[in-house]
Amino acid sequence: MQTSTRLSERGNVLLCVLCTILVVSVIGGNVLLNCMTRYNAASSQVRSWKESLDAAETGGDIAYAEVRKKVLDRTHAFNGWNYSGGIYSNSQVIYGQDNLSTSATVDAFHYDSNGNPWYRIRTKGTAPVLGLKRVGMDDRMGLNNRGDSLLRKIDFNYDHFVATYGPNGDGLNKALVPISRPQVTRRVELIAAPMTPFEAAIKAGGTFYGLGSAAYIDSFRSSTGPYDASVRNNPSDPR
Amino acid sequence: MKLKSSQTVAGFTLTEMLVSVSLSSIILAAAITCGVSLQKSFNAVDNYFTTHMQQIRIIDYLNRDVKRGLIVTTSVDLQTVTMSIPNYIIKTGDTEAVANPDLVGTPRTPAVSYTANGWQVDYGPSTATVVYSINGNSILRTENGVVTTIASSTDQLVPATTDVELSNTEYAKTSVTFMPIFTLSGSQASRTGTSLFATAYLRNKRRG
Repeated sequence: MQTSTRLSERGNVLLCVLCTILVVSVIGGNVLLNCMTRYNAASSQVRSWKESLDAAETGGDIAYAEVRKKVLDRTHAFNGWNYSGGIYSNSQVIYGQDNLSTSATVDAFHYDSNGNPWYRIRTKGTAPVLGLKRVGMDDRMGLNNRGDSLLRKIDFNYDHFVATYGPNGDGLNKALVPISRPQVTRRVELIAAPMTPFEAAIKAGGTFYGLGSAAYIDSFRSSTGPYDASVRNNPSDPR
Repeated sequence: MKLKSSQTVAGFTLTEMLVSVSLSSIILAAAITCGVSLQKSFNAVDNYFTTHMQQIRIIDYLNRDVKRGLIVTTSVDLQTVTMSIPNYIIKTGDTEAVANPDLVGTPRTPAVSYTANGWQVDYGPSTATVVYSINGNSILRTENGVVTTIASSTDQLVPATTDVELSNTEYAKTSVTFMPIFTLSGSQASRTGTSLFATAYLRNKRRG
């Protein structure tokens, strides 16, 4: 009879490998998390912040084009816009690959002494913030804090603009409106002032030699008929 | 009957031990060095981009105020910027807000008047004064006495702004630099390499 005794020494290689993979994965995950946080702040949020201003200014351009039609093409001015309470407003305009959106309101807030209207254009522009809603933002400011949301206000769940200022930014109809994805909204206001094509009734480019006491300079209001020289010295009819 | 035992006890020679310990030491030292270096690099890059983000924030803040400003004045050392901006937004304590608190945060209706300098649009009877300044490691924005720290870093952030007046407008050129912590030499080139530039024009007619 032959008896064979074999000592077998087996290690826990699999366990060691799994632990190593776990440790490396945790380190890698941590690095990726940090990178994503920085990327979101440095790229997505800054870009959306600037795009939203661009969208708001685009809304201003659209509205200003309508204001200009008021002078140059009155029949087509503000076609398709809503008009209520002296305020024109348009539907939301969506453009660009990132689906930027903008809307505007226009009202004549002032009339000068000649009856010319001064228009106020208020617009808001919205740009989506790409990426996840969890971005690890740091709201505080200090030596060890980043203050990510100090300037750039980002909506993650609700439209803060509508909730704080109302849909038109006038404090009316405030509501808590959920949003489908993160976004940034900014607003601008611009004034369209009337400009007369005539700088002055009479303008001398250089030295002006008058004709003496025999000459006079007169003006007349064309809306009342042709010029009548006989009324130039009549204060009761100063046309 | 013959009993056969295959029990073997293996051992290492002294030479094998010396070689293996030497190699292990080298590998361990390399691993530790790599780990420490990676950690330092990560910290440096993390700090660099954190400060870079603050650079961008300073520019964004400054440009926003310059664009809506009425006049911009910079100090001789270019590190303090003072500007007047219209009171576009109704704030707590304003006359309109006292009458109707819901108006806080909403735009103010402007008044139009004709002055010696032509037509003028005024948002309220006064303007707000905004000052950008450096205080130690922090960049401060002060609006009507209310101080906000808009950036803070041990990397010595330094904004420098120059205002250039034109016939009826004005623009402000700004550069923001900082000194990265991992720079060994601390040379000026290290600071220059971080420069971020921006130019913003007044969108209102310049006053003053």
